[in-house]
Amino acid sequence: MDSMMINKSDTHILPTTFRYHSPSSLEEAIVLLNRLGQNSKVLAGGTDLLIQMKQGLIKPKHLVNIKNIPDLKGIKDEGDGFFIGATTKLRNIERSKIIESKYPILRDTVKAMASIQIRNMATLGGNLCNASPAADTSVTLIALGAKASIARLSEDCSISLNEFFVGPGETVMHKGDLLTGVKIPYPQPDSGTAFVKLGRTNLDIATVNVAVSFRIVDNLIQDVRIVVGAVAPVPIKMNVVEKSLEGKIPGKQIFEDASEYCCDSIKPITDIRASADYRVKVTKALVYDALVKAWSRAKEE
Amino acid sequence: MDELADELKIDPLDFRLKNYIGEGDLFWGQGPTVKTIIQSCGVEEILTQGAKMVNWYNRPKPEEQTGRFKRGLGMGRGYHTSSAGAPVPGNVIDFGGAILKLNEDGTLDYVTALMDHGGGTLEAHAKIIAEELNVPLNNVHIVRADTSTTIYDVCTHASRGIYSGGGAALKVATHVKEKIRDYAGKMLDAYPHALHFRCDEERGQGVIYVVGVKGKELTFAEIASTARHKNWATVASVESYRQPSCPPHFTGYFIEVEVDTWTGKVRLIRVVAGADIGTVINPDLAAGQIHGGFAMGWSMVILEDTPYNNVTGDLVNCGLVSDYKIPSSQDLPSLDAFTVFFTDTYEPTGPFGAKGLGEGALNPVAGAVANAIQNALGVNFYELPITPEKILEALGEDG
Repeated sequence: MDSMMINKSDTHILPTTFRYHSPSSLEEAIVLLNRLGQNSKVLAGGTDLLIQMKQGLIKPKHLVNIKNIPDLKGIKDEGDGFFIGATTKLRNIERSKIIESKYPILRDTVKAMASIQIRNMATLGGNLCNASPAADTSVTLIALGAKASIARLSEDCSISLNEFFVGPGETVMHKGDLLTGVKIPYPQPDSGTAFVKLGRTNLDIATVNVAVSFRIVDNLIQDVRIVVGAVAPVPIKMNVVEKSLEGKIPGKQIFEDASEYCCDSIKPITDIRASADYRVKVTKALVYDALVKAWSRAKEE
Repeated sequence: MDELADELKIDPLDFRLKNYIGEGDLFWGQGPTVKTIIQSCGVEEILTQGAKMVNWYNRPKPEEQTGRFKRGLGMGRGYHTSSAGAPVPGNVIDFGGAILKLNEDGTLDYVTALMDHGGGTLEAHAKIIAEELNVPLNNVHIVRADTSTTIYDVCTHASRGIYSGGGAALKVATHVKEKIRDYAGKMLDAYPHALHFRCDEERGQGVIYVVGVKGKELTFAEIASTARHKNWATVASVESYRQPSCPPHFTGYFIEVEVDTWTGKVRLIRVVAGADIGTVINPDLAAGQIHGGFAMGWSMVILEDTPYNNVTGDLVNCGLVSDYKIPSSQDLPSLDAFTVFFTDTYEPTGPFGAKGLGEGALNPVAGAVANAIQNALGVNFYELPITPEKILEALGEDG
């Protein structure tokens, strides 16, 4: 078939031919990915990858399914935090009792993503490696201080998720590397966290999303993390604004000031979902809402 | 309408009550040959009852609201012709066609080209036939049909499924009824015009009988079987029918919203919708059609857009539905916050007094939502969709 004849923008057909691989161990997968090199793509849930293939945006010659690797699945207590495997489905995170009690923010985040049907397919690792600037789990996991666990031929490594993203669709991982999961430190006492998202509809990708986390110790704010998504090529951690809140007494005015401060520090783009100007304006509302919500959760602790 | 009322210093609801086309007025349904004198009108009932339900005259005033979240209550009134029926031929084609056959077990097969889009249209036809023939509803089978097995019908559009398609269903039912009457007269040795019909729930049958003469009674099954055994005929009829009128159905929406002045997001608080569709044949499904019409209207006023790239001229969403947003159930109000009521009206030309609903369910939504936003913010919008961005822009210009 003449490739020009294929409707590449709106089709259910994968307009390329590819070979399918399904390794059953991590070692096998790493060797395979290194051998296949540039022409391969890792397949987890496929909710981003297959759509990009259907649109003809990418044409991998090899797909490597990693869902048959047992080590990459599930949530484990590792003594100093929880490890969530890369192929853990978003729906399993949403329904996990551990996540509900330890990291309510992550449950809120996953619940706000797409529809149940998509969450049944989509994986945590996929959401991170797709590296969309608007990804929801990215901001939340950065706010939780999570680290990415990367397997590679030479030596496995672990890197703060805040340094994991390089640009839209780009991470620090090299060809042949595989994200095995994320490690989230145990939640600290007296902490409050919140995720807030704005989209055109409830099923939409974020126009802007925000995750915050802080502790209230002796009625003073500590260990603040504010992360804003969809306003830059990568999720933005608001280091300066965070510092401005450290040691302050929590209150609506101080949170409003901090949220205004965030708007001054971002330079978003205009796309189909919103204009740059709009993104700046709503960032204030979202950061404020997230700070207030996290505050009320910290008080419940 | 709200702006005209404001100019005249009249409440917008009162202004509508003074200015509408109602009973006895000429209504242009569709062009010069499709028009009618309105014989049923529930506008006043829709407006007054809806106003009572939402406490209309105490709605908020935009200038009295402070803070981030502002509430507004708006209303819009709508109408649409039910089909393009007319007393004269004209150049608009709108007629229905139906086939109805009585089977030897007393059930009926009903064949129409008209399709059910999920509004329960064909169940309504079955109800019309069951009512006319005095048979249990379950005895009317709707046959899966296609073009080669049906007669012509302009099908399901133009708010004509119940009024016009149902009109054809009623006509074919009355013809089958007359045939049943004739055969029964022969079999019972009675005058056909002296015979009466009733539904015998116990036997699950329509029954025809002579009043006061014991034993002079037949079930529909007995009539159909006899007609077959005696080589008379199948008790069946094929009819085309054009409605002689195009009565408007009327709707009114009262919509309460809350606008987040920081994000421009408009949240629905509640909806009260009133409709005059004449006799309501399927109350739950008719209410469902209003929910659906509202959802599409809300989608139109808040979401649906097809922007083009100024430089390349390309459609920005590249034709992908993923960037052409419509609401899901999560974006719409809970059923508790959505009330539908129907007026007590009867359309003399409709099947058992029924009119259409489809388009009237959608038409006033955009205006009503825009008026609600106006009531919250004091700003009028003249372009759809009213996106959060446009709201923030307007608020920026204002403040």
